[in-house]
Amino acid sequence: MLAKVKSFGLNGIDGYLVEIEIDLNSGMPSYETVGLPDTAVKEGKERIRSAIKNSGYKYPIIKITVNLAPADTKKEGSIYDLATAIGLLMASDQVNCERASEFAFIGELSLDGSVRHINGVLPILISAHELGIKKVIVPASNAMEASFIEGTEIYAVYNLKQVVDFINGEITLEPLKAQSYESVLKEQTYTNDFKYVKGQSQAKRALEIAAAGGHNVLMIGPPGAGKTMLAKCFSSILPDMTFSEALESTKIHSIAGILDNKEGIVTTRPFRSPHHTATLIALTGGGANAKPGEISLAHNGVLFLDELPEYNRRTVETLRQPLEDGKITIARNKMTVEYPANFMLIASMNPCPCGYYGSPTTPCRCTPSQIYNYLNKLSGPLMDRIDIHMEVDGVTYSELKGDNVEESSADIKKRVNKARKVQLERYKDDGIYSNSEMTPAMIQRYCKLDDDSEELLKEAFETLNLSARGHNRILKVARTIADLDGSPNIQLEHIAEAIGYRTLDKKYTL
Amino acid sequence: MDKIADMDKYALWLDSFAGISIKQKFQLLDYFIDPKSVYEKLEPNYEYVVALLGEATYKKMLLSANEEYIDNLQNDLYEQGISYISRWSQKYPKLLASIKKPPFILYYKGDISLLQTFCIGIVGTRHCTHYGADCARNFARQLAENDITIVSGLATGIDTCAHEGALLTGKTISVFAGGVDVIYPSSNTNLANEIAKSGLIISEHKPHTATRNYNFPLRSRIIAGLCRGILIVEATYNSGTMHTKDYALSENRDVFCIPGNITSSASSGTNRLIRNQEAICTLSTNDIFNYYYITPKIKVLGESGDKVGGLEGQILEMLNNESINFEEIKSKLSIDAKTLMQVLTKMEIKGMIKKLAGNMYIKKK
Repeated sequence: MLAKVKSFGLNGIDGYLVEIEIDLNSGMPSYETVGLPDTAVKEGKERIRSAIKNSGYKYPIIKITVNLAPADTKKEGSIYDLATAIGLLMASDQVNCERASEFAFIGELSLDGSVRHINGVLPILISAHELGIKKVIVPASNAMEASFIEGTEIYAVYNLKQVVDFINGEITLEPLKAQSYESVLKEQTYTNDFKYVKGQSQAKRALEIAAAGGHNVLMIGPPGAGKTMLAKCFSSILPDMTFSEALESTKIHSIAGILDNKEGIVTTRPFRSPHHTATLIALTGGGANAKPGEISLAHNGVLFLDELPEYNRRTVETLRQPLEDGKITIARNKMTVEYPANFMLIASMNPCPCGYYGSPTTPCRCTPSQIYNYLNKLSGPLMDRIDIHMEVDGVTYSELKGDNVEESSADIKKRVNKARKVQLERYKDDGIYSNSEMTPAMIQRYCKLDDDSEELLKEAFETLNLSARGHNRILKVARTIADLDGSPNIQLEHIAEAIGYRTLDKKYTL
Repeated sequence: MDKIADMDKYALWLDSFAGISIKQKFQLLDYFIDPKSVYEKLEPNYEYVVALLGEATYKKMLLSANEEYIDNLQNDLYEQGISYISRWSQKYPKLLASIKKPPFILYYKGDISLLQTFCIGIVGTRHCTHYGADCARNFARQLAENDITIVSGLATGIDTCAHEGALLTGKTISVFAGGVDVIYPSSNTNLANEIAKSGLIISEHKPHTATRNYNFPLRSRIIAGLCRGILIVEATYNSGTMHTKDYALSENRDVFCIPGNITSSASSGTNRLIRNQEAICTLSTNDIFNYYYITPKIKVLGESGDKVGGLEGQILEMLNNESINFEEIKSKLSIDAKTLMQVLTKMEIKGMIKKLAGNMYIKKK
């Protein structure tokens, strides 16, 4: 007898419907899976057999053929266990076929019949919703992330027996109650708050500008100056995530299996800091299964690259395209997937190989050419995508112990949110969200300078030997500074301040 | 005057042959006395020239011994914006002419009259420390401010700092070890362009000559020859700077040394020179001024800033004697980072201050 069950597979961050067909034929008892299954799918037969047996049902001792349609797409993982088991029980008349066909099933089976956690539930449910599938059965441990989908009846289950009983009408289950995003988006507390960072007023100001305009930042400073601390605090001043942003991030985190099961949704902007030994694939995503990389996990958040020159140069250069497009396309022979990767890059580096160039306390042991070469490790095209360079210098003991009350992240965030609102309003017809995304045409339109500012900028280029590629960067940053100031036009002060954040455009070494 | 211009021209002609080494050119000049005689008396001296240079080069010289060839050479140089003088020119500095083997031709870019000014060479190691870099910059700046032309070699390290310091307040001459159009190291391209604009670049090598390390000692001889004295800021004991010192001592120039930390390898050479009493221990520019009986321009501290009011004035006041960190300025003025950043950037653009690594600011001039 033939049974058909609905389930879902994942391609990148999108789910697609997989129809599982189970046919029982007379012949030597066997179990065959077709439809390009990977090893995890094939091994499912052992889990399914034990789970059915241990849940008190009868495993049909007969020739079993399982087809995962569409048959030409690679199927991966243990996601189809539950659906296949139900299909087997349908084919062997142990489950009400008519009712079972109303549902889609996702979940991994344990040998004892319990339903285990899987990755990627949220993207699957979103596509289920789009495909008009009304009822989905998911593992109970995925309940939290599943509960943000409205308009689909989602049932969270613990074991196979519960599913079968529910379908056969022996027990009733309540669908999950949809949660509102606002209820989860409680007053967030950050362990890393700017109020704990003493001194560093210049760096904080630069980060505030970066957060407000979505600018990428490069921090330069000696070891122990607090670059990492500043970067960690950075996510606390970023504007709150909107629901759609949160969903996007959650999708990616769900696929990668790093979603917090208690939260169920990503509510704080991700902060990813891969170590500098990270490979190209780890950063951009890929591998045989085209998994999302660090840059996609940092989507809508911050990618922090500590000690930027220590990274493999090729690895860092791959960031160029995603920094421009906000997404990355990974092509592998089995599949081509596109992951969003709209992140802010915060990078930090020492000014020289020994780390102490410019430090007032520790003498630097490097020669000028060493420093020059060290700074030159960063390619021009990459530097082109970084709007703000700033120096972070070590904090003195008195500053550290001083009673100065530092501004809290919440206060800074208020200003950032305000400046973002101004930008959203300005760019509502342009299809961008922040100043950093402005194209040259938009810069001409929105960054008009008065004569004085124009003169200052010209003079700056002449006297400070700024490189030409800095010109548009300065205008973009100046636009953000003006927005923070609530000024409709860029003024002299804004340009002056923006020029100050182009350290590496000037001659830096001795 | 015409005769001199002639001599220049024939010097250029003599220098144009790639087949003749510098050494051979000097031998020729020793024999013929001046380039014009080489040009005119080539055939009568057939045997000597062939013995020295070989048949092929002799033929080449003979073939090109015509005015058209020289005109072409001159035009080529003119098109590249490069000028030249010979040892027989009025513009050739007497001091340099007095050394053992003065270059018989100097190619240059910039203001040739600087060769007649009072010159001090500032040289030192490429691998300098911050201390050395600061000293080079400050000494160069103060000397240049008192109308002393700073001569150096555009190498990384001390040379670069010396040029930079001198450019802030006065004039500087850079002596190249290759053609005047070959900037070495290339990282100093901007600096070299600036020197060509407001100072002088000279070389005894014809344009396009690549910089070779065996030419560095020859370059040292010119630096030593041009200057009344040489200031060695930092040098290890076997540094190339010691060539400059040797030339300077053998040509009766004064050698000044800035002492350094005895544990610093960069100062090992300079410290030894002081101990061996080969050099004059120099603790400040006053030591140099006193040595040459120069009265430095009187500078009253804080005076230069008195016309600037407001925040800028306050900051200048603070930076009078030392370099100060951003946070320190901020806490002293008790203003917010935003405003301070604006003010500092504006001051930097106006050329009042300079930002150093580590968020340190110093006063310019």
